[in-house]
Amino acid sequence: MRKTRRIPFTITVISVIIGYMLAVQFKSYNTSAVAESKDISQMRQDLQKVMEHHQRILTDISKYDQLLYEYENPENQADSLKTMREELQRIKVFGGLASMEGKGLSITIDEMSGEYGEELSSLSTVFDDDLRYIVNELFGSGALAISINNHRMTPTTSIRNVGENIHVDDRMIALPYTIHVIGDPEVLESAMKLKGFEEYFKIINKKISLKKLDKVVVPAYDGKGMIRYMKPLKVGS
Amino acid sequence: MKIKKIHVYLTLVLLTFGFMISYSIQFTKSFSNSPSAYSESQWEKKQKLQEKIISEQQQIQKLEQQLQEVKQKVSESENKMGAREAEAQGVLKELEEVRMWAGLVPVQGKGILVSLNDSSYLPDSANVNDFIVHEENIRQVVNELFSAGAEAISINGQRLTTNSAIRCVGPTVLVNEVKTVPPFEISAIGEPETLLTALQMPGGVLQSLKEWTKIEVKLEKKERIELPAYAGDNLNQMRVEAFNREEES
Repeated sequence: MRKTRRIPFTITVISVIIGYMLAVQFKSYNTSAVAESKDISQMRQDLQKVMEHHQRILTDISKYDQLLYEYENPENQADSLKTMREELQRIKVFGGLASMEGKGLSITIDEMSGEYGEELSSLSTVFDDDLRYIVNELFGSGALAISINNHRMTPTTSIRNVGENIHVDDRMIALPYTIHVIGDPEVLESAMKLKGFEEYFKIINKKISLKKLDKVVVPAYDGKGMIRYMKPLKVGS
Repeated sequence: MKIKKIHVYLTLVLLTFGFMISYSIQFTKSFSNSPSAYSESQWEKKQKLQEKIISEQQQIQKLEQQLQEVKQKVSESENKMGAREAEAQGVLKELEEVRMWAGLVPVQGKGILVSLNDSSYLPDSANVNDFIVHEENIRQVVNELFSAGAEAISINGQRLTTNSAIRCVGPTVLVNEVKTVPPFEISAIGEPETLLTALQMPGGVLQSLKEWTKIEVKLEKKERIELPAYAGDNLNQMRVEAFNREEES
């Protein structure tokens, strides 16, 4: 009797130890895997991004310094007003309130020729996300200005599904979608190809075509930039 | 007979036990040994990279301040011109508005703060993807805010402008090509009620985030919110202009 009781007891003790060891082992394996994941290539990428940021600010500083110099040392009174007008025009172009032209890419999304079954129709819609994704990738690849069906992307543009239709700001757009982009055509094209948009749109029965152009015109935003709630923030006051 | 049975059990259990100990020791050894052998130099490299990143970031902070000062001097100079000439007055007013709209000057006003964070609760079995904030979640919220009339938005101190992109590169999110980490604090200037209502609308963004993900969302109305300026409006433009010229000649 005494001996039969001892067996389960010993086994329990040993099992507990083994269980504990397993847990410790698993835990140590897990943490070391996480620690290793932040590797050198990741850090190099981080460094590269930080240096780019640095460069952007430096360029801005030198440009604004130059502007300040031109304001304060005008050849005559009329010149400084002209400088101011030019600066206004530059910002308007940047913000989308004036049209821009240059080298770039023209992207068209349209129905694929050929018939497809009715049951596919809900799968074959282009959604706001799709267009937002494309626009985001293009800007991320250095695009300067973008329009979709002649509606310019501005600092406050939204692309949104309203029912079945896509609205860019408050205006409805419909297939075919034509996206005009200004930027380095090679870079933009390879960014589009790299992200696999062609294959993606094939699934929803759409054809996406890219055309590199020497002259792309992106029109000005045709609405008005409303400012009601924000005020400039003076630093140090 | 009974004694023999115990022995068989014990032998089996102890054998396994012994195997586990030896395996465990060897495993830990191979794990800690091999990296540390060659990681002496690797570790040094990492250290150097880390130092470089930090020093760059410190410089950036200083430069940002410097940029801010130059911009302020520029607008002071423009103000003087505006006071002198009636014609400059009109240009000045437009310049101020367009700069605010394009995100080139810091602004303040009422609005809301939306905070998106990875779920703090992370069960082992579930899909980890549902518990972390993805760049498209941020894009959805931003898009909805703009559509509801937000005038200006910044994400973790990065002001959004025309050519801002919110992208994912590996495990990190880049806003304006600057790395950011959760929690993602989205500050938006606009009528707070309207912005909140738009986000909370049935079938809207918040509902779909709740349905499809487990990320944590916090909303807060703000009487006063401050957004920084975007830096870098010149570089891209210069690059493209230079590129265009190069090709022509």
